[in-house]
Amino acid sequence: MATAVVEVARPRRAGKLELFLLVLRQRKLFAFGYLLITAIVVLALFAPLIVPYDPETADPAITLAAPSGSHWLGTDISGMDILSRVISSARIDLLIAVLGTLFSVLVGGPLGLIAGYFSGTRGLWGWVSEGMMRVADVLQAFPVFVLAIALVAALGQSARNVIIAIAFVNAPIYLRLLRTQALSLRERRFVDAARVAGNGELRIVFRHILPNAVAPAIIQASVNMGWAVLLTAGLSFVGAGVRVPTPEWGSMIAVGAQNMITGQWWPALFPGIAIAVTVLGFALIGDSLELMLDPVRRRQIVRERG
Amino acid sequence: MKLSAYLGRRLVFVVPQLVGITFITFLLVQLIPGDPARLMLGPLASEQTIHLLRDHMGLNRSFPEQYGLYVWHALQGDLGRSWQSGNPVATDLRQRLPATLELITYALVLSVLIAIPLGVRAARKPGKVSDRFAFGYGLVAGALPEFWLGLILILILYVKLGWAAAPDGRLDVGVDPPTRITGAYTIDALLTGNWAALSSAYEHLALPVATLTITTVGPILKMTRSTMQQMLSSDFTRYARLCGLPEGLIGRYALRNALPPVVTLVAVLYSFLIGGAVLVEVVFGWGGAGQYAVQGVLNADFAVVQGFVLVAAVVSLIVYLIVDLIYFAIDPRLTR
Repeated sequence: MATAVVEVARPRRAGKLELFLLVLRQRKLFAFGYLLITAIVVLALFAPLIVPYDPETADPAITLAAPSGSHWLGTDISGMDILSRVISSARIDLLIAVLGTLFSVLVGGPLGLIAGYFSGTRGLWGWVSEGMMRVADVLQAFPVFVLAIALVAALGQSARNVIIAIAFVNAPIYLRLLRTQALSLRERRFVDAARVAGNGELRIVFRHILPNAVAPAIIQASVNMGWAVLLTAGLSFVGAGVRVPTPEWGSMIAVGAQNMITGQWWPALFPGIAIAVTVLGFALIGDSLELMLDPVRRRQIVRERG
Repeated sequence: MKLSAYLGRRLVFVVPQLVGITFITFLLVQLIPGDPARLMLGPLASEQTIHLLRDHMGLNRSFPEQYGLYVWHALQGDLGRSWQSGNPVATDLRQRLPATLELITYALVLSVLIAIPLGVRAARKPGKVSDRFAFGYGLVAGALPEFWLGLILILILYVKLGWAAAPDGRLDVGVDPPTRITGAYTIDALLTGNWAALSSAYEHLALPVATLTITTVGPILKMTRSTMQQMLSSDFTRYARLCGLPEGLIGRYALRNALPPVVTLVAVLYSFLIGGAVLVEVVFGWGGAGQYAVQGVLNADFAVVQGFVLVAAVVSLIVYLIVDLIYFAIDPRLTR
């Protein structure tokens, strides 16, 4: 009898995987987000096996053919198959988005932790912390998009430099985010305990504060992945990113833009849909992570389990 | 605290920021491999003009001296010369910046007028149609590349239906721009009573403004909804409700407290759009500052890029300054 009472009073905590599955089951929209991204990743990985035509081979005999049985999404102005190009584009667009976001987290995150942990302290680290925030302030005063274009222009047009530009313009976001985290976490008891136990300052930052501060960065990174896709496409659209004929959604839209005026809508329409679907998928994943990491809403999900 | 004291303290912060901004725009050109003077003058320049520019920019001097010279020139309004247009960059920007500012100001004002009432409604009726709409709209609008959206609008409203003006600039061919006062066509046309130019300008603004508005309503709506929700479930709202205040008044109190983060977001969006509207400018052949900068980048016209980045950063500093003043007006805690 007594054990039964205890069990009622303290419901079992849901494990991570269980929580994840619960969220997917209860919020169909989020499940849809994971489905979208999985599908896009699979398409990207196996693109060379899936695509009906070579994405970079132009067929001058069938330029600007409307969608049909042989070319499901039509062909563009130089006669390249749009379906094949839309699928193949996922490779480079996802690669740039993932690496760009990853590097911005890897650069901005640790700096933010240091800036937060040492904020307002005396000595060298205090100065470094202040200095970094001032640099971030200045960087954030710049127009993101033009700064990115200017960087790509200065470094040269290539996928690698687009990644660098994305990492550079996004790093201040993580700097701020993890600084805020570290600022509140450093007041907690476990940090004092770690210090009393004889840990060095940097060890406290990276072994004790980091694991507790990482959650919001993951949410942000997921949303940022979508932004990175948009930024990459935008850069390529104005001609400061990945170059034709490499399949890339933004440059495909740029090529199709001229045809739009004369009524041939298919070369620009489909890559745009691909971008929107990808960004939407990442945004939904971000929302689902936010839900899972929010203690109040998480409890609600577990309660609804029934 | 008085407004003047607040403004004074705020302006003190602007100086180091300006120093930082000029330093980064200065570094930007130094980063590029090759001779900055040669890059700025372009491929057509003679050795002699390159030599003269090197002298003017102080490229043979020490690094701090070069930076000092750059700032000194910028302070006098000398941002270098574009080799494409042959004009001083400052002159070109004075022509084009108003076009961009006009575009994004209309778009943001419209976005705020649409998003705030919708967001408030969504927050007051959680789970209802307006709430779901706000959530779905935020997701979808945030996912659309705005340059693509612009093209789709052109396809539907110009190519297919013929309702919109041609996407080829700010006025119809054959309509002369109004006498220049501010550089923003709608304002100048209104001030000079040039009705032909005014209607043409509005027709051409319609699509690009719609494009930007559709995308910027999303984040403002989301922010209004979430902060408004917080305020409506906070203690002071509960207290007001217990006191029996009418719902309309409670909503107004909540909105007043929910506004500051929204105002900040609008400022961030404004400064983002100075450069971010580039894509829409390109689609609609707008000829604004952003498009000018993109052409500069693509043609290695580096004085143009440097000048634009500097001016855009300064404009966003001014916007943030205005926001702080708005805070001062709407948050009575700051006046104490």
